[in-house]
Amino acid sequence: MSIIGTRVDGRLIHGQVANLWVTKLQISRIMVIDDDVAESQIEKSGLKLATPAGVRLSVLPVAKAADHILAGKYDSQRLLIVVKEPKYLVQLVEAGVQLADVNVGTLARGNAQKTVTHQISVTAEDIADFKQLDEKGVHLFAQLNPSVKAEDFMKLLQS
Amino acid sequence: MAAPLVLISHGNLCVELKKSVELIMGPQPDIRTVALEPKAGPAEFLAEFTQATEDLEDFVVFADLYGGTPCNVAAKLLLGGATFKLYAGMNMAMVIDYLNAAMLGQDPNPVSGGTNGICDVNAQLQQLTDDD
Repeated sequence: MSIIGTRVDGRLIHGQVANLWVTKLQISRIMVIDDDVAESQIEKSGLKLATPAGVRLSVLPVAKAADHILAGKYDSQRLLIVVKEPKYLVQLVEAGVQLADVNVGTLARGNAQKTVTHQISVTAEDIADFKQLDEKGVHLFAQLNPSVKAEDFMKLLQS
Repeated sequence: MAAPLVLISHGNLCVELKKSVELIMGPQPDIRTVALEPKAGPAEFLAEFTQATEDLEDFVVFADLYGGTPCNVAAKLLLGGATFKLYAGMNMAMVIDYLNAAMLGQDPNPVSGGTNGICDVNAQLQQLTDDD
């Protein structure tokens, strides 16, 4: 399995992801999984621009992403999965992809049910999705950058 | 352990650049800044720079502008025998590249780190290719 990191980030690829986590985790390919973004040429081009030189990018709908990963297409690469919404991770796990842990970075919801941290607010659906991931054995943590401590996301969600 | 960074500039560029970098890289307590205040001259800047760095054995200085007072004052110290590294033309990419090299235990190259961050975005847009 070549998945080095998985991140929930409402902004997908931006400064923290492109400059910090890609370097820290020595990522060779960023995979954005989103059914809507994968349909939009403009959004895809924007993501390509934001991807650091030397790093490859896939923007895929969740079903295709799961197929590619399970087929071993990226086994020799260091993959960072980035999603805007946790529902795609639930679908990925249900399709049979194993995720060890997920970093919940930034998530700002207009129709938020709960504010978890400065950077994270969640809808009722998000909460249900995170609970499902937790029940499936995925370790969820929140860490904006490597110089701050990783916090247990499920504890934050419940507090 | 990479040598600590000292950012120097005309006015508060260095202070604010540090803050901007922290938005991406997280808190950077080891980065020091020395700003040349509008009414200060080389003598005041030299005093502040010396004070800011006197407890450091080894450090790397990024200056905002080649030929500007902060850079010139630091360069004079080098001519007088100081041994720190001094780079001019600092930008956000240069600082981030330095911190990333430190994180990975690599030797930083601030000149390429800074210049790699400069690009013609319109031209880049023309060159985008698909690769899933």
